[in-house]
Order: sequence, then structure tokens, then C-alpha cells
Amino acid sequence: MRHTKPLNDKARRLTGLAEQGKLDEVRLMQTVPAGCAATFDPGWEVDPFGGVASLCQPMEADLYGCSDPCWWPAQVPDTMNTYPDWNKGSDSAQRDWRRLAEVFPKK
Amino acid sequence: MMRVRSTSLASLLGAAVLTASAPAVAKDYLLAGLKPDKLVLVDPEARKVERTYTLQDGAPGPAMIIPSPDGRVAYVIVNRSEAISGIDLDSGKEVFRADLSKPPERVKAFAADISPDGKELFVYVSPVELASDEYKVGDTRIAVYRTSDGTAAKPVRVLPAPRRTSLIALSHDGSKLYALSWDVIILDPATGKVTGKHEMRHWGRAGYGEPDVIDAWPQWEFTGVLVSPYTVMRTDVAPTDPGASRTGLMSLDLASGDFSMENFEDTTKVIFSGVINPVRRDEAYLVYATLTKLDRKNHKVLKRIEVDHTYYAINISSDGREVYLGGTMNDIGVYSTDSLKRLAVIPLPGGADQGIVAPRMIRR
Repeated sequence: MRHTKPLNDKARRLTGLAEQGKLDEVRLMQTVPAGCAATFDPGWEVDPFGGVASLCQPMEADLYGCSDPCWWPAQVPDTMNTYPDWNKGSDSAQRDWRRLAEVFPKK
Repeated sequence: MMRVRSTSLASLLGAAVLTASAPAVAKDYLLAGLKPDKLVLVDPEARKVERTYTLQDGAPGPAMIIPSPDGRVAYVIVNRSEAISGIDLDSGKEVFRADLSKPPERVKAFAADISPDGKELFVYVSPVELASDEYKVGDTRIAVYRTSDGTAAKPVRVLPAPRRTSLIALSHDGSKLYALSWDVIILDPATGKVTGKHEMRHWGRAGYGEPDVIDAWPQWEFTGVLVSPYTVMRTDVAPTDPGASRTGLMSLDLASGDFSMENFEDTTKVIFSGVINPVRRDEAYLVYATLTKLDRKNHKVLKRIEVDHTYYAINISSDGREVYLGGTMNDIGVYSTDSLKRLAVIPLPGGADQGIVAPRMIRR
């Protein structure tokens, strides 16, 4: 851990518990269930084999298949209900992905 | 669209079309959906887009297309899955519409199918009541509409339906309504009563876990067989074993009711959808970032190629010579069923993505 620096809460927790010898209490996503029906699979980071070769090709091709039917609501803005205009006017993900903005919950 | 059930598909198709009021020479056409509000009629033989229709409140894009059995009307799930719109493919006019939500209930459709006589449209919906400080999730159901009820159609009956349904399909004789959920649930289309079940997730085979199915891509217009790839983990080997995950194909014959699930390889590729060949019915073709030709009889991969980009969905010509890869991006890929050679790419208007919507076939 001397040469790495935690960047998010999970990593900070990992670092802290590692020093206390409680590493087993931190669950990291190390593998992915086979298949795609479990909505909380990461999906956008790694493929079912733990690599990237079997992600959608190209990766942005998968954007609207996920946002419009609300398939991956944790990973892609949900245009069905919550962010209906997220990809408005950007009808080709491959061509228009630079125009897509991040979204934040309204406070 | 023809629902064909025997092996002599081409001859049956020709005979059926000639006896109808269709033109003397019927052709295959492909229907595709495009973001944000377009339905496209493609002539696959000419490799060109024949006509583009604009869907009222189509955004963010069509979710599913359901052609009428006579190929005259395309019903399309639109408006963030809260409406279904029927477009007359000759006049381009909206001849049917059902708006599903009625405050305080918000209703989303995920699957639909049409009765073999074209008179009833079955729409699988998931309702939620938007209360002032909470969402009340309602029971999923199937709303049944008369296709002749015009542009303010109301359900003529509502059937209970299993959760997690992603496809519904009528049997060829119209007596059974199949709902593809964790298992294939067989419903009485008149009452919604559960009359049977084909077990998928709960297949209970020794040495295996529960099969995982993802399928939102109907493709049985010319084949009469609903097929869906699945993956399943073996429980009798270590999870690190290369053969621990197996891929298979589920087949449901909408004419005979025959159902099967057969593994065909260790899971090495992601596969989203498949279609069988209407003529060489032992062959199936499966797609995602690869196109696979499968021997359904011997459960063997015959050939596999990389495709230009991911296609979620696949369909096939009535003569079984070409498959049409669609969904996802902005073209239809045409491939030979013999060689899997790419024969053509048909670009779709405006370069807009198809997203989740699957291409459907009609013959008219």
C-alpha cells in the first residue's frame, strides 16, 4: 500500500481495514456473474470474463440500449423516467457521445 | 408477416401470399426503429430504405415493433414505453394508439405481441402509482386491445402476468400466450390463467446452477420458433474451470409447443439473441459482437466470425439465405447464412441509433 493512494471511500476503507488486519470485511468486485440479467453487474467496466474484449463494440454503441429502456440505471442515465432529455438531439452514440453530459440528482 | 410452421417454408409463404389480397409478387421487408421517433421500412433485396415514418411522441426511441400478420400495420412501443402506436405502412398514418399511463398510475410496456388473426394486441406492462411521497409498485399485467379500436384504444381485458417478463408470444393457433420470464409461463390468452410452464431458471438439472436469460428481441416472424441464448454455471467443477460456464440455446416452437434447452459450448462469447433458419431448421444464428452459426441438432458451433460492431438483434429472410443484423447502432448488416460472409450494410437515415429495438420482418 506504500505506493498506492486511495481515491474513493471504498479504497480508503480497504486501506484502513488492511492496517487493522480486517481485510476480509471489505468486499471488492473481483469477478462478474455470468450473464447479463442481474442489473447490478458492473457491465460497463468489465465483461463477464473480467476483461474488456467482450464489451459492446464499440463501447459507446451500448449507451442508448441501456439508457432508453432503463437497463443499467446505476451506470447510465435513465431516459425513461429520470433524465428524459439526456440524449435528446444526440441520436448516434458513436457520433454524438461527446455532447452527452454527466447527470446529478436534483437536491 | 407470416407465421409459418412447416419445413416447406418458402412454398407455404408463396401460397399464402398469393391467396391473400397482397400483390402478385410478395417480397420480404424489414422494419427497423431509430432514435428518436422513426420507423423505417427497408427493402433488404434492394439493400435500401424504402420509407421512413415519424412516430408521434416517439422519444427517446422505439422500444419494440410488432408487425400485423398481414404486414400492413406496424405497432410500435413509443413515448418512453408509455404508449403503443400502430402505423399503416401504406398511408403512413397512425391508425391505432393506446396511451398506457393514467395519473396517478405510470405504466410502462416492455413486450407485446399480436394474435394470429391480427385482431388483438397483447401488451405486457408494469405499473407504478406515483403517490405524493412514495411509489407503489403494482402487479405486472397484460393489457389486451382490439386493433380495430383506433387511436384512443382502451384495453378490452386485462390479464395477470408474471414479473420479469421480457417477451410475450402467441402460439400459432392463438390458444396459448407464452411469457418469457425466469421460466416460460403459459397463459390462457382469454383469462390469463396459468396453464403450464417450461422451466428455465428452475430447470433443476444436476450439476448446474440456474440458467440466466436476457432476451428482448423478437424474431420468429418467418420461423415460428422463439429462440433465446442462455448461460449457466456448472456446480460440479471449480468456478475457475474454463468450462464452468456453459452457453446454450432455448427453443420454443410456437406451432407445436415443443420446448428445449441445449448447451452447445463453454461460455467464451457474449451472445444476445438468435434466430433459426426457416428452411434449414437445424441451423441457428446468434449475434452480439460475433455472428455464430449453430448446428441445433448436434449442438455444435459450425462457424463464427467477428462483425463490424455489436448488434443486439438478428432476423432472417423468408428463404433462409440471409440474416439481418440490427439494433444497437445505425445500420442493418446483411450476412450469408451459408458462409457468414458479409453481403451488404444498409445504412439507416440520419445515422441515428436503433438502440434496443429489434428489426422485424414482414412479407407483402
